[in-house]
Amino acid sequence: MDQKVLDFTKDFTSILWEAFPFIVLGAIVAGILEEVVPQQAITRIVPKNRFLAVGLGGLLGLIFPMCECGIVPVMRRLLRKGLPLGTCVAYMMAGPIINVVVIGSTLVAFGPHGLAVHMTVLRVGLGFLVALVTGLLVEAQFRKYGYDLLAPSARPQAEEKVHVDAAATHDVHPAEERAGERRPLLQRLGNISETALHDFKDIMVFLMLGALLASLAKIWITNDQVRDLSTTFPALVILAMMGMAILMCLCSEADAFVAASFTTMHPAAKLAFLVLGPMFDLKLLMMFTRVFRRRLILLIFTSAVVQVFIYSMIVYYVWQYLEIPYIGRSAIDVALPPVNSP
Amino acid sequence: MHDEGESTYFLDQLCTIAVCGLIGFTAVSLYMKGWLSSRFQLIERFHIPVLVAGIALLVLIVLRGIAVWRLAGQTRGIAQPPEEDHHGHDHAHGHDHAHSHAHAHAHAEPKKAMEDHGHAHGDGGHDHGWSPWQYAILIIPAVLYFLDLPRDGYNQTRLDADLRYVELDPGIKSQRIALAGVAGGMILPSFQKSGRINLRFSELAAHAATKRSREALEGYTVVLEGYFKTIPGKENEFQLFRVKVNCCGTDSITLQSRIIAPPKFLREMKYMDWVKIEGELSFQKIAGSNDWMPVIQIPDDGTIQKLTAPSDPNKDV
Repeated sequence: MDQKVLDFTKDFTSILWEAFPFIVLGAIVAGILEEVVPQQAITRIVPKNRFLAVGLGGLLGLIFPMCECGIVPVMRRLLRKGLPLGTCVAYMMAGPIINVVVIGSTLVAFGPHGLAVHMTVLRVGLGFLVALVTGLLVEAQFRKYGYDLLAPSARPQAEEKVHVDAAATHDVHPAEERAGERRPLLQRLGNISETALHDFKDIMVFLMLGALLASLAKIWITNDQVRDLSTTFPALVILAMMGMAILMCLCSEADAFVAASFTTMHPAAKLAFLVLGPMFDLKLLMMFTRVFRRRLILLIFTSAVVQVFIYSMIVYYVWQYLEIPYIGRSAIDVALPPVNSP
Repeated sequence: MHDEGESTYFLDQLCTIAVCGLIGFTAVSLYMKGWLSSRFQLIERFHIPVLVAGIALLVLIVLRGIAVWRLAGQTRGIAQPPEEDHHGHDHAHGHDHAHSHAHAHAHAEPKKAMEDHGHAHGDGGHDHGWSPWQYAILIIPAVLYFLDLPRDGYNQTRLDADLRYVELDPGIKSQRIALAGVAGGMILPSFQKSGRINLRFSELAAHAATKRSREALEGYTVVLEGYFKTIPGKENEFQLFRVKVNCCGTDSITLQSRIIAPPKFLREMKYMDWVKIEGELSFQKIAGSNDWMPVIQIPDDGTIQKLTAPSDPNKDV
């Protein structure tokens, strides 16, 4: 078999199995959350001040971790319960980044590179900032256009003038509010396993597609080329990584491992990949059309892309100015070695 | 309509159980066979998580299998009586399940269960519809496992690219030799240093990147172990390298040093032999680049030892 094909399978499967434990963990967490936590618990804790509400929305992922695959329908249900739109959007954008599972996977992925703290703090910080600004912009638009920004199925129940038959639309079921109800243990475990396996299946498919693209890229582009490109044309590489994030549709629980595999790439470009990916990609775009109208989708997209690019460029220049090394680092402090007598 | 929905649902569930079970089995097998390090170069801290995740997946499919079995039993139990029309119809009555992400169902009424079951939910990606393409993708890791892929060893394409020969600018030592020649040979001895230092490849690479370290370490005797690679057209030079794996083989980088040795040492060595060398350390700039390469010169009376490669060459790089 051709050497390149063998090497391709090696890279492809390496990425898969490295991310595999985190995907299973995320799927199990999603299954437990879906079964145990009622949605009302979220709406009770949101403050009335819109700025604080949007800010809190950006941090809700710490309490209710969910990857971007599951967060859109969760967010849609919150919208129907009357949670402010800006808060929902902030949760939707930041939730897949600012949660325990993703923070953990980012730390683990970059730990051996000696960049665990840098990348994790930057990812969380920039993710929150992008989500906060976008949430506030959405709130401003909401004041102007109201619920015309949303698809009919996402509008709050109180806003609906005409009774919608749940069975007819097939979008919302009367039983959806029963999460948290008491049920027999075996039934609960069955429900959790169904949710977990469904999520696992969904995420693994897109991870494999992402790993496929990443492995193909590594066949054609060498480490030196990546490093040279990212230091010579940082804006281009940042934009390329942002494009890759949109195309690869990776789950936020696994994308840190893909990004970390580009060892010689500048961290600013990797950061752009890690911040934008969970907020907007082709898979999410399809889900957005079920919740938002075109105007709002365009706003979210533009806000996310512009902010991520600007912040990544800032990170690049600050990183270069501070001369922080990022290639060949290990967690060991590299001091001059002791000299032994000959 | 109900028949299609129900049969599609059960087909989807069975395929999910089968595929996820296959992946779980593969994960456990990879751990048991030691492939995680030998074939994927996955660092040790990931091995147990892969095993645990594989076992967790198998537990989930058992739970799901039991739930689907019970559901199928309930379905048959509430099926139409024999005297009524039953052209192979299945009715899903009285089942309980929770849909991930989109909504939660707790069906207490059979009729409502039928209605809920007969349609495809388009939201949140949770769809009872049949998507065989997903399963075709999901079985890939298991298929590769049964095909005995990937093979042992490193990504050779990347190694070849990383280890391609590069010209080096004359190093400080060469300049000092030239200067010593002008000054009558008195200057060079003052720069030679006595003492041996033990360095790992990653430390050597880090020191090569900073001027302070290069100047401090130049001239010391260093002991180093790594893989051997000849340089075509060069009788007295070879490359010593190791592969630094941060998480898995995909993110590995190649650390190398140039070794200058008498030709007699190179004759019996071949590619990927594990060797131990001891020689004088210097650094030379890579031509046309800002990077520096460690260069180790083995004296005529020195030795190069051919050893057995460590069981885990990714350790202590």
